[in-house]
Amino acid sequence: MTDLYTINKKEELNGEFIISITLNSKVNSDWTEEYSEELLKNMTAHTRFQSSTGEVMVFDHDPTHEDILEKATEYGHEFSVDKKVKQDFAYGNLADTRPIVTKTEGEEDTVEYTRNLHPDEFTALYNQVPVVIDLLPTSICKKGKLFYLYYVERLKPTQWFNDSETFFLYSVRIHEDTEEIKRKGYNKGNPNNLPEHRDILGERPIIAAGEYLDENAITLYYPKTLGEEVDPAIVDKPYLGSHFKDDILIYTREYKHDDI
Amino acid sequence: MAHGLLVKNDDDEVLIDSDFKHYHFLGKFNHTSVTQIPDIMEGGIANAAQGSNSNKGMQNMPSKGEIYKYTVSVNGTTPPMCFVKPTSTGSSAPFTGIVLTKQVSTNWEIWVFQSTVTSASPVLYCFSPLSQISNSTSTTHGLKTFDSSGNVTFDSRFKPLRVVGGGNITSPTLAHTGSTGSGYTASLSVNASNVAASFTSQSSASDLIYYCPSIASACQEHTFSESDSGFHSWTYYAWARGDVWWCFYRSGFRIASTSSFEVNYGVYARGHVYEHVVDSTNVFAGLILGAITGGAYFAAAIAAAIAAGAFTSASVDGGNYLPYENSYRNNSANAFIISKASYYD
Repeated sequence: MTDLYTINKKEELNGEFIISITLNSKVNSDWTEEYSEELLKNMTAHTRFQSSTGEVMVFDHDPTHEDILEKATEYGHEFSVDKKVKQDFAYGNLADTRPIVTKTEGEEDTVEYTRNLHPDEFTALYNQVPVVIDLLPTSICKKGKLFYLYYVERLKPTQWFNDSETFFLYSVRIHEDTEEIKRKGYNKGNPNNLPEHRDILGERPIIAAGEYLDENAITLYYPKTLGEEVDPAIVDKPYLGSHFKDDILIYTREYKHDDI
Repeated sequence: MAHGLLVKNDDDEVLIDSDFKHYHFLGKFNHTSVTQIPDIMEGGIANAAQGSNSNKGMQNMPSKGEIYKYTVSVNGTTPPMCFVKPTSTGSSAPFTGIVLTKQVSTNWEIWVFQSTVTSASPVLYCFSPLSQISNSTSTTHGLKTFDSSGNVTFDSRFKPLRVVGGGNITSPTLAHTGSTGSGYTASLSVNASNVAASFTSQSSASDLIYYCPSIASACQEHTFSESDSGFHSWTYYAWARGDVWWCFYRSGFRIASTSSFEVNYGVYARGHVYEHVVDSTNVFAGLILGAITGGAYFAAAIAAAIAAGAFTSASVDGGNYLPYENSYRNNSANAFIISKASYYD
């Protein structure tokens, strides 16, 4: 009994053994159903990808398990496939569950806690936000007296963003004392053609652009290391964000997974 | 045989037996129409939000052969014996065989399958017992035999069938050997080696005609399914897609040389049925989607195609159906007879 393949039919014709077989493939083949259920329960991003391929194999003898595996390899079949877990901006992933740490020169580091990976820290911060919030954010952090609430694309906070304000990621900044709210939307790349300030950033590729909706300010994101490919949806490598207000560079921050 | 005539050759093979209803030349027949079995294609979502949308048609599937239909005017219950004069001979010639013979009113309908499409068409040289031939001649010389009931069984004036060679030939078991494809790319072309049988050497291959109905068939399929479910962007997601591509092959024959007769397969019918479903609302549905990507899934997909009316002409001679899953039938001991067209032109 194996979960690598299923023999659907075996015929012996003219001295040949003809096998109709389904070959299986899946990610992380050592995962158990229990582990997968646990990931779902904890709302941890993961994939349960699997595939199967129907084949016909011919042997001059009744094939053994090893014969079938050898023939499958000859056919180019892979029983285990490498598939990247789909992730989003501001998430941890299975390989790196540490929070995203923001580093700004001359300022104290800030830590962004996601709801699924750091529930205790997330809840502690969330409970300090002074306004009533309709929708639980994806992640949260605090810089000085400002709370930053982040929402991924599928959880658009309609409390603050209308139908025409559509982004890949949303954030709202809430002042601890005044309760003033400022909104910001993020896009992958720079589809809205925000000024890229090449005089300052040079030829650094813009991987994401943040657009402030209540003030004349933008943030442009680009890889920390020139030539390195960075996926802003995964935060798999450190990247930088330069903040411009009224076309003047105010600060540049570094974002990366790090220990608290 | 108390009375009558029995003529044998030096090998003790019977040439004329007055008790046997010998076949005589009925005529040459050209096709009345040519057709191909329509593809069977049926599927779910054309462009799904999740999962691959590639090859939801017939990309990379092998080309089909064509079917020539003939109407042979012979009124009787004994089917005519039809010899094929192929469009060409040699190692590049298509494989051709009679795949259907049926009586339609006072005629017989013959279907000839050819493995590739050509500009030229095969011609049938048909033979029938004298009792089913309405011929007359003013020739008063020759040999004529009668059976014990007084029925004419042989008449040399009406071009009796002359056999110059024959034998048995066995079709390859599989039409396609090796992997049937990878992912959404099916690989089902005929790649089996030709099988040859020899016969008494003749002077000209292009003059030869043969009788050898196609009885061997094979059906081979490539199935592929993918599914994924999990958690992403604070949302459960699930999708699954399952496909089955198949080819139904019929055997065909060719005159490879003046002494060699060959057999292999051609693609007679083909199809592709798939199902693609997406469900991002319920993780449990996702788990189910993941579980159904197996044999039962394809059976359900095909059943759905039937219900949707894709198999609108699911008769045997219509051919547009999935006759059976990976299997191979009637491939051994196919008798063949060789004659010459010039005897009857």
